[in-house]
Amino acid sequence: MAESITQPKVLLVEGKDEVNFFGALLKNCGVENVDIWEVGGKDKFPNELAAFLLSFDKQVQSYAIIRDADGNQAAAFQSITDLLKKNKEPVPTKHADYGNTDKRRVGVFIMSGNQEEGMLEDLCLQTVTDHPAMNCVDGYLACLEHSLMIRQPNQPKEPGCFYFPKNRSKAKAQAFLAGMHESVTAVGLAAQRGCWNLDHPVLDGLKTFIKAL
Amino acid sequence: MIKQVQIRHFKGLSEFEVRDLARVTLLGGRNNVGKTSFLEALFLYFDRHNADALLRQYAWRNVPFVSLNPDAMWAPMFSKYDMEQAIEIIVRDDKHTASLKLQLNREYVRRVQSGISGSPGMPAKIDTQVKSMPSLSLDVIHRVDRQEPQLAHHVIDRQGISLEIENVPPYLEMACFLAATGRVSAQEDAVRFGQLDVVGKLQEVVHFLKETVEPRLVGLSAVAVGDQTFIHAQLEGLERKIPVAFMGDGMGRLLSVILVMMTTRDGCVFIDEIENGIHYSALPKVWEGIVKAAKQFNCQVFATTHSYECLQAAVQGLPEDLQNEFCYVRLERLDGRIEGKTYSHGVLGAALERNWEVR
Repeated sequence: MAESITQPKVLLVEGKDEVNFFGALLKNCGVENVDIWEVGGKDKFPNELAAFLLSFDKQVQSYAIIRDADGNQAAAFQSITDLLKKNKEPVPTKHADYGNTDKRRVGVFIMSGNQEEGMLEDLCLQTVTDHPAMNCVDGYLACLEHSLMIRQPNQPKEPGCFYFPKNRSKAKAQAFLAGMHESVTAVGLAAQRGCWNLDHPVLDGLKTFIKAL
Repeated sequence: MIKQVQIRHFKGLSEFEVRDLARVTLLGGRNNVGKTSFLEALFLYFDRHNADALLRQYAWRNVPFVSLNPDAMWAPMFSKYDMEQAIEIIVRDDKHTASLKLQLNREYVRRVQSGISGSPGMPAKIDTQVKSMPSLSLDVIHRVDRQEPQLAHHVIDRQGISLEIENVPPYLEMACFLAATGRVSAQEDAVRFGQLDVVGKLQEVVHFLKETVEPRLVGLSAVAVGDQTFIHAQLEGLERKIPVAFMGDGMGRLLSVILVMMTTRDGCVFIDEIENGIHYSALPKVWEGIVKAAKQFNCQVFATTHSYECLQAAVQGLPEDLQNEFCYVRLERLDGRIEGKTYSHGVLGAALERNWEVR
């Protein structure tokens, strides 16, 4: 079945988890008339964005691209704005802002973080720092850190060794979600089920951005 | 290699532009959106010094008769049949911009020949009253960058159609058009086959056909039958060679395609409805073969299709090193105009994967 865009406003995000998370966030903000479209990963942005524009050029009035920083917010922003220029689209001058032309409004938001993955998890965890389960989660992570070996980047795996999770944020989010009353394993679905505090001020910047779409 | 084309006032393409073209460009779009017109316009650019250039366009559309008057012959080439607006075809490659303009000239004065006619040595009637008379011409003006334009004039008169050329460059680009319907004549195929035979390239033709439509093919040969020459195929398990004309449409079509491509070095090949006669399962290999051949023989291919399977095959069939040599252009009617949207191989793949309409 065709994955169609039916709304005049579109959020372009990386994966399925982001689709679910931003669906919950838009609902929390009371924003309607927005389609959320899963690009399928950073590497796919060039072809997917071009295909999206060729298919829905006349229909889409505004769209915003939200992606991870991958440890370098400036480089991630530059990569997206280069892509917009190549496609002759409006280009915002800074992160969390919009560029406008008579044709369209286009925004770029780079989610900050220092690891290759887990930026969404970082953000979600920041909304529940005062949750009673968080002490247990921190204790569990500290115990793992004490019991397992830390594997450095590029260090080969040794047989019989047990390593600390490669992505601390993802492990922490999973540990936190394991403490929920009803089982949920993905952070995006967890947002829809109210596991994260979507009213937390840490989300204010992101909410202001998507409300301006 | 042509990268960009602008067409003005040609049939349904009143104001059309397409960019980022590749060595092999496939065109798609709804019925009557101008795919074949695009091929015809671009072919006309190359065919500009052919007296039958305009007649050929009718033949490809299966129009057997046309009245020899400007309204019937020329007007259908112009958008809304309006001959007052010149047809313009502008072609850009990496270095040059060339334009072809066809415009009505109501005051063209033909070259005047002496009134004395007849064969040398034979008695001739003396007539000294012949004068120049203005007549109707379709002027053909070709210009490359800022160079002096080349001029030619299509004229229709009681003697029929003629093309009067004022100045022609020493070299003309090669181009060939394969229409959607009707096979290329056996004689044309045989001539090209002969050209390739003398330079030892036949094995490549056999390889292409074997890989795409006929795995049993062992060899091809030209056989004279009466005053005609027909290409015959030798198949595994058959003692007797059989004329390619007796084989399926796909075999004949692909033979013509590869013969044209291999004999149009440094030129352009136009193929209307490329998928005609070819089974869908063969299409990925056909695309790979066509793009490889276009690269090897340095020709540029423009083809049209209606087939979704043909698009999928282009995405599936091209290995990574050939993907940049291909693009797809979707012609779309928007706000009364025809627009051309160019999809690279990767972008077409992304759109097809999501089942977005690309035809």
